[in-house]
Amino acid sequence: MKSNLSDRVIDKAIRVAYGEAHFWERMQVARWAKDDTRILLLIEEHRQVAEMIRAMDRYKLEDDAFRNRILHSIEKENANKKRPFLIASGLAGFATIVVLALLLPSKIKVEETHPYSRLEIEAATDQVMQALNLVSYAVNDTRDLVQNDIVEQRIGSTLQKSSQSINEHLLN
Amino acid sequence: MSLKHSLFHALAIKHQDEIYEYARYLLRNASDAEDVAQEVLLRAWSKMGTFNILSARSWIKRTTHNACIDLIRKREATTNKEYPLESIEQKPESADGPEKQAETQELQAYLHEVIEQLPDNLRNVFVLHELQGHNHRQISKILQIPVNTSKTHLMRARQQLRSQLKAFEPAHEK
Repeated sequence: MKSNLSDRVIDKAIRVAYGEAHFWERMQVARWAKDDTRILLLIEEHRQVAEMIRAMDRYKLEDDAFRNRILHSIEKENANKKRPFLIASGLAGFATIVVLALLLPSKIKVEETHPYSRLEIEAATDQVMQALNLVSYAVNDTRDLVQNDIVEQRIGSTLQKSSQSINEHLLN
Repeated sequence: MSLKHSLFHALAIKHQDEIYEYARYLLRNASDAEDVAQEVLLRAWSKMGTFNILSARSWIKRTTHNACIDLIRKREATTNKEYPLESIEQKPESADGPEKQAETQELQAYLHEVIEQLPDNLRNVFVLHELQGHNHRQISKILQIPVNTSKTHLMRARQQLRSQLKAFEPAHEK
């Protein structure tokens, strides 16, 4: 009874059957096969399996449907990649608003330490101007009165009368 | 279209079926495999420029493998749901008679089933080598196993496949 074929022999026989063996390996296996017909049978069986595998229908994707799925996914992924930028810019805008909101009231407070608003100051300025105008008018009026009425007419005429009476006394 | 778009487009067209096929064998489920393929391509899109485009195939396959493992773990953690084997796509009409066609379809379905039922470590190496044309050095990088382990797994997978297919009998002959 023949012993079992060694792994080395089986391996080389399979390589011959699958057409992967080098020239020297093929020669070696042919020599072994002369002495042992089991090797020939092994080669033939593996050759048939190899042919079946080569002729086998292959699993394939439905090209268009799959490609559309991929393109759709890529577009989605690109949109997702842009989303963080949008979120970041949104957050930056929000942060700016918050910072400004925190800073501006303190500035306004500084300005608010002044007791009057700009409009109130302008109104007060107008009132002061009006008051000054009134005073100026009164002063001018008084000056005219003093110059024209009091100095000229009352004091002047009295002095004139006095000087006339002195002249008359002196002449007489 | 930008350079990134053009590169990605070329990459997706070239590798999408391979990603799907590998995921399909690992997950044994069409819609999960499609989800993984989508996820891997989206990862490729977001990582464009960070990996060497010349070794993109290995990167993609490694990412696919990891995505499948993640999904299997998630699946195991959440449910004990069985994922039934899906029927294989209909083959176009051929010149063979209906009986022969039925037998071929049956064999095709059986072949897929046998590959899907291989133990995980053997199946991963088998699919990468036999169906996707990776050599053992690439497989060792993708699966992070020694080259010799990859060779041994391939030999065992082939042996299991042979013994399983020897047992195949078309339904009408049973």
